[in-house]
Amino acid sequence: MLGAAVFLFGYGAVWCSMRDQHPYTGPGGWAIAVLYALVIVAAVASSRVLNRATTGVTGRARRQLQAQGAAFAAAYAGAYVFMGALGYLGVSYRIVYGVYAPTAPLIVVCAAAAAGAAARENWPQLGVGIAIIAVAAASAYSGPVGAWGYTGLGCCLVLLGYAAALVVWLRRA
Amino acid sequence: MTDDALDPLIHAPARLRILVTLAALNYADTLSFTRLQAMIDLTPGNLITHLRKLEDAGYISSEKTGKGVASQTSVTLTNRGRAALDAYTHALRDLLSGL
Repeated sequence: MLGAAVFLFGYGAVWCSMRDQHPYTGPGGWAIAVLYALVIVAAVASSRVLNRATTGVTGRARRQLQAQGAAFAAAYAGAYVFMGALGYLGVSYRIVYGVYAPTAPLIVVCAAAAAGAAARENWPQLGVGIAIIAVAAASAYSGPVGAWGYTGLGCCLVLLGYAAALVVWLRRA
Repeated sequence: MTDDALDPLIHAPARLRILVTLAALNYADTLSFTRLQAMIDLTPGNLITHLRKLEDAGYISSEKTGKGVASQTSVTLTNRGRAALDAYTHALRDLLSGL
């Protein structure tokens, strides 16, 4: 639910800040601040939940979790360093901050998450990872403004669908 | 079916909860005594008694690290314990399938 809120309100804020721009000037500073504030809140909340769940557990599971965290951090950092390189090499601002920023890091991180889910045979999480990759990749076709809007809305719907499926599954169990 | 099929050592509710909790961990992962106690809501003395019985049967193993106040005890399910829990689960399923 928190992830869905990040996509809806964070990506939505960036989309709102650009939707009437003629000509295109890029996301507003306030919108980027809202997005990163939400990302930080979600990251802190997730790490707290994870810490609470694994307190007192030692051994292979903890090592796997730490290794997975390192892989995610590398994937995320790599995607943003690559974005910097695109800007440095003169690729259009519209492409770098309008199309690449909302989609490519998401695709890279979700690919890493989907691979981890596949290794653990966690099919629902694998499905979510693939669905987010599909949404982000398809949203890139809608241009620098639409990419933020469609990615935010699509990923929010994917995560809400996953949460609803989990609730139904837990009630049946 | 005989009563022996339901391992009496596992059949006690507290010990069953201990084994099921440890079985939820990955193979060879350990759980700290304090976390186990918080999860199954037993007093320390009660938990120690049950853990000793399970350890004597070879179903779990425990390890103490550190000294004094900083010492920490962690427990893990052994292969024998996992097999015994599997056998217990099958026996219980067989018993209940007749209902």
